[in-house]
Amino acid sequence: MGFSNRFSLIKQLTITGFKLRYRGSVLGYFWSLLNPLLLLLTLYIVFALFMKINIPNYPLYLLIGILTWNFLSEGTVMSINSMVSNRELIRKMKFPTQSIIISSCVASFVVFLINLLIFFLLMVILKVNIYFTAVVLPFYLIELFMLVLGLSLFLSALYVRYKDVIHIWNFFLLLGFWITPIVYSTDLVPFEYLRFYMLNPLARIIVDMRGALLDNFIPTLKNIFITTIISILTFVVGYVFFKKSSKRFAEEI
Amino acid sequence: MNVAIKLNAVTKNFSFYAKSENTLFHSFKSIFKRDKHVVISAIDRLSLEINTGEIIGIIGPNGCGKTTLLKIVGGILSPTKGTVKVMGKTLPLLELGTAFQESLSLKDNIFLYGSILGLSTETLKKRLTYIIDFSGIRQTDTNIKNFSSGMKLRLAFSIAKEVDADIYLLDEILTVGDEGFQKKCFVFFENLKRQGKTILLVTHDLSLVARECDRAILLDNGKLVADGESSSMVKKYLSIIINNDLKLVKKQLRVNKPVKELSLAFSKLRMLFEQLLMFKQFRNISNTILPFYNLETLIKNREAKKLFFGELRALLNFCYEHADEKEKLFIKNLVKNALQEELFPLENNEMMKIVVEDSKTVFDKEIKIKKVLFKDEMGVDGNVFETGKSMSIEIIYQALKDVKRPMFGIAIFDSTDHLITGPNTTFYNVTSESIKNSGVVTYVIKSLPLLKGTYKVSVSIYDELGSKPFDYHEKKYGFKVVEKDIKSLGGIINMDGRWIYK
Repeated sequence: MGFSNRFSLIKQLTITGFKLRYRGSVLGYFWSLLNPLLLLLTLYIVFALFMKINIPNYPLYLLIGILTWNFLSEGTVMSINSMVSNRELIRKMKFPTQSIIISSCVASFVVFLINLLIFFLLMVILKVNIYFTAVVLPFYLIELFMLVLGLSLFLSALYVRYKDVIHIWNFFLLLGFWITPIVYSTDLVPFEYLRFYMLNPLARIIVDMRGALLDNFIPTLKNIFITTIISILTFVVGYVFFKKSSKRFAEEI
Repeated sequence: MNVAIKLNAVTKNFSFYAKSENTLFHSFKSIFKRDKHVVISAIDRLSLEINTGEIIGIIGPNGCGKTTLLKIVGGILSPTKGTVKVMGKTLPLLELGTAFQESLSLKDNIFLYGSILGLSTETLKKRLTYIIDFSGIRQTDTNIKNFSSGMKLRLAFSIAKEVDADIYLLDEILTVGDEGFQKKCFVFFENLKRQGKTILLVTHDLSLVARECDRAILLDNGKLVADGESSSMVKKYLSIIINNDLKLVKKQLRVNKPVKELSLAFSKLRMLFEQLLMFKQFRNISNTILPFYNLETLIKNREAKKLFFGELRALLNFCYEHADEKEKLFIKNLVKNALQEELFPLENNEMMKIVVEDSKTVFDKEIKIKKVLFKDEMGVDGNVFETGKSMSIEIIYQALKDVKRPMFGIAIFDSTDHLITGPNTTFYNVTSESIKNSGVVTYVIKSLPLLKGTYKVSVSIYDELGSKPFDYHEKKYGFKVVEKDIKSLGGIINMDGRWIYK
């Protein structure tokens, strides 16, 4: 299959994914926005009103964390599920299987991007300054995409072999939500644990993205270097693992 | 010639756990205690070379590895051992329309299925109206969940047709769908042949393999049993089926009293079954009767005989209930023939009754067709003839009484059951005053005008007015025509005309 045909395939699969996802629902895309917004509201009530966390622009602070996390969890879960829903295709047709995963991730990414626009709209409404440092955002978006795609490829390939991957991953997502600085700041993490805490690549990306968007803060070169390496590595490992496993997909799924 | 596909000692094993599914917990447990691993060898050390432009039929019993072989060649499965070399692009068409999304529109599905088959969005946009036209579907603005399975099949085929590949892997797709669709499939297939594409064809339709393929590969239990000229492979396959069944029956019935008369009757019944099994819709129930289907040497005791007739009756009844008018007629004729040969023990059975009564009123056995022979110019009988050469059809009859001026007739049909010609002796003013005992009536064709294809023949003997049949064998006979010296004209007949310029 040539490059343009592969591109056509990913495009068609993505469009199909969108159509199937929002079929028969009145609000359509807005569910994809409503979910994080409702979560935002819940967390805001608990942490800002009850527990009195004192972080400036806390709703926006919270929202960027939630949206990023949402992209990760939705992207990976949708990818694993797409292996199930395209079971017959994988068993009976010849086509680059990774396009299923890529299109799932692209679909989640598009939703993420639209949600980010809402984020900026909210910034304007709340009259928060948009700093020049926000120009680094696209760079982080690419990193995030590679990270999520790599993870999705890895998990989906593993899922074909071991069907309990989905349950274990769901548990990890729940755990991950709380060991990533989404509702709180890294200042709360005891210093002796911080080194281990920052092994989580998403923690670094969220901290840096937030700094750039809300605090006029340029990420250090060291941080940029580390997150880039991790994203590329995740993608490469995921892709190679998927490619290697894909030979057995037709018989094992 | 260029090699298109080369398999070298290819083995494909499927392994799974006997008890449970693959889970992490299971793998963890198996570190300590190994679970029983079941390994099935779907393809076993298969070596094969296929040249560009060859039409290959792959035949063998269910589960012999036909589809697995196609999947390996098509790159859907990878071999456990051995190497596969495929030169050029393959298009595996294993099951049409697998990728359809029920809840999406026709157009969406065309784009989706097309791009999975490797077509670009631009191509699909250009060909969209053509694809819809070709599929013959009119309701273009509904979800395809409202479509019948036949419509979906036609749609999928119309899309797949647009893909340009070098090697086509077709799994039963020429034998599905309604008649019109099959014709379209066939035209497509003929076009591929003309373009010199390499085709691998998996089908249960053995006559299709014998007719359309140059070469056939016979698989059994994943092993290559034989590889060679298609019609001899088909014969070989039939003998394998029979042998397998014999083994099975031997196991089931441990009998060995020989009864000579029965063995003759059974061989005739087997032919009857073969004819019955040619009906596609009855093919899926063939498994239930297969063990009984060549009992020739085996059913030698009463028990087994009873079982056999019971099974036969059940099959006939089943077929009769599910048949349309045309097929009912066919079944009736089969039973009539069988009755004439006195093969059935007559019992109280409704369907049988109908047929028996029918046959009593219709047939009067004053004169019978004993045998029909097709002979070539040398007087050798066979069933393959050449266009332009002479051919004769001999009807060997036996009269029990004196029969006054009987009318002998034949009718020749093409493979789609269209009557080509139906000459009889009265029409040609060749009648003998009266006929006694046995004799031969011959219809001589000086130069056979029929072109390449298979033809069916009905033979009949009527009374002098043509109102009452003495004996009538409907499409019981057939022959094949090949073209050797002349260039293919296409169609059914060579009119032997000339072109003149002025």
